[in-house]
Amino acid sequence: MVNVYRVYAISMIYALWILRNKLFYFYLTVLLPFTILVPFLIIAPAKLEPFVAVGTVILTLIYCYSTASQDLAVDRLLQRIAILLTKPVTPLEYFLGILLSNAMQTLPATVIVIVVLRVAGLIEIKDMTLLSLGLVAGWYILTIMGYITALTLLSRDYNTVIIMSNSIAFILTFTAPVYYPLESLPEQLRILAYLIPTTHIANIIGKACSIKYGVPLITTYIYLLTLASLLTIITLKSLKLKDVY
Amino acid sequence: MVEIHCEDLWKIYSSGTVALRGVSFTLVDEPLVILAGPNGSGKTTLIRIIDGEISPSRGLVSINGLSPDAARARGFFGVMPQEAMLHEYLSVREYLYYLALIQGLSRHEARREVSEVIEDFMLQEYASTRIEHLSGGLKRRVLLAQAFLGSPKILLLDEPTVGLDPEMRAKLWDIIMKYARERGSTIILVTHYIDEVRDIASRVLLLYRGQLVFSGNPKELLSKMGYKYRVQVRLRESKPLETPPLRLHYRSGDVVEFYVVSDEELIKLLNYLASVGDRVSEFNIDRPSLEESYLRLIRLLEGGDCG
Repeated sequence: MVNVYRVYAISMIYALWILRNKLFYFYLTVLLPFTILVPFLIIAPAKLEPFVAVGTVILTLIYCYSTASQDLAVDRLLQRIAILLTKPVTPLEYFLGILLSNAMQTLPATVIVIVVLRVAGLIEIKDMTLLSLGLVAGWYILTIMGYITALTLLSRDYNTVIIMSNSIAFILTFTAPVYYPLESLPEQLRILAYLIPTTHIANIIGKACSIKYGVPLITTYIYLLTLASLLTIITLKSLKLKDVY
Repeated sequence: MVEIHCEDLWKIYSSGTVALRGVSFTLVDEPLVILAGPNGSGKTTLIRIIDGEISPSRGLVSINGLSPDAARARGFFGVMPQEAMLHEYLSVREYLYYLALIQGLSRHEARREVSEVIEDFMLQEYASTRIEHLSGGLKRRVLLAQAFLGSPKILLLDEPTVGLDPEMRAKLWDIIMKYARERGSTIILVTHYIDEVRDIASRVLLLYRGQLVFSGNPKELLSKMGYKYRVQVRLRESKPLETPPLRLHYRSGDVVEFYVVSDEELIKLLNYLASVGDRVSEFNIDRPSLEESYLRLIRLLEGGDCG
């Protein structure tokens, strides 16, 4: 049984940090995505510009992964987690709290980025439902991946968690074909790209904006559904909050 | 009723450090238990095992017959960890409110309880202040206050008054005991100020190098000192006293001490001192402190001089 007030309280404890930190929010919504967007637009041929725009949206969503993995690492470092661990919080409630917190932090930022890209004429949204589905899938899968990363990393050292999560975030953003179509990758790397979730999240968002990544949508749906189910089962069945120790 | 049962608890960390070595005890409806021991004796580890934060390497813990995980799920615990930091970007009221919701209170109950603890812990002036702007002492008070939210059956307080001035410590002891009395909670208290709570403690657990070396009430620990009163006498000149009724211990040239085991012996000694009053410059009677008893026991365990 999930206590919704408990979930809400956990989400607020984490979300208020960023929602009150205007400088960080500016970094997340403007500085980070657009400082990468601008040089990529300069060097990309015109036909790849829409991919660069979708890549920018994915880069903002990646924050879900980073914050889910790093919030726990920071809490462990500062020993703030000890207080939550002594309260009657179930792992599911904690995870839902992190999920809701990420929604409050990242989804508005992502919407701001999409609006700016739309106003700049870099993307054209054709299917709002599909776009929403892509954003929700990205938010859920990236958050749960970050949460699992934090709880399962063998090392309890804060720096190792941060280095590992940054490396994985880098792979999710740049190794996966999100700033470019699948066909731009060498043949042998395409199978690897199929295994990276952001390939499929970009595929859905791209499809909503009539951008063809070259991945069949049915493959994307099957992959994301399977991955989400698998990660959810792992989270609910195997992970305990006290694993952070 | 609150029953905490620990049986043959061992904790060996992955680093190889053995924090607990076969600790066993049962506490039934104890209002205030002092958990004492030198640094590194396993006090914090024991607290964290009781509240289910970490699992023992071996042994069993049960809280009213439940595992600590199940007891925690039912909100039995209020815990003040030794070193935890707070979410500093929240105001005091926000922080306590969210923790009250997490403890399982409804929004209405949470608001009411938060107002109560803010008042009880003298935080009214800072209720809307962000925690990051509070002094260290005030942060400790917020950390302590959160443990009391939701009227937990068991309060585990790990050095709650460290770093506070004596006046604030006295006030906080009053508050802690008021809560315990009114709500029938069991408090397990780790503190170095054991004499400040000796009169209200029902039991002392003494850990030494991961082992439970003493479990009993404060009087029993005091009896480990082997005397009831210590009488210190300053003489006018350093000439030995003749035929005192008790064995005397010289401390320095003109100061002697008597260790008195009963009230009768004390009366006899006072009569004697009255008879040699012209030789006595001043005298002082004190009772052994819990801290002295505890230190004596530790020194005995270490095989040193007990003084």
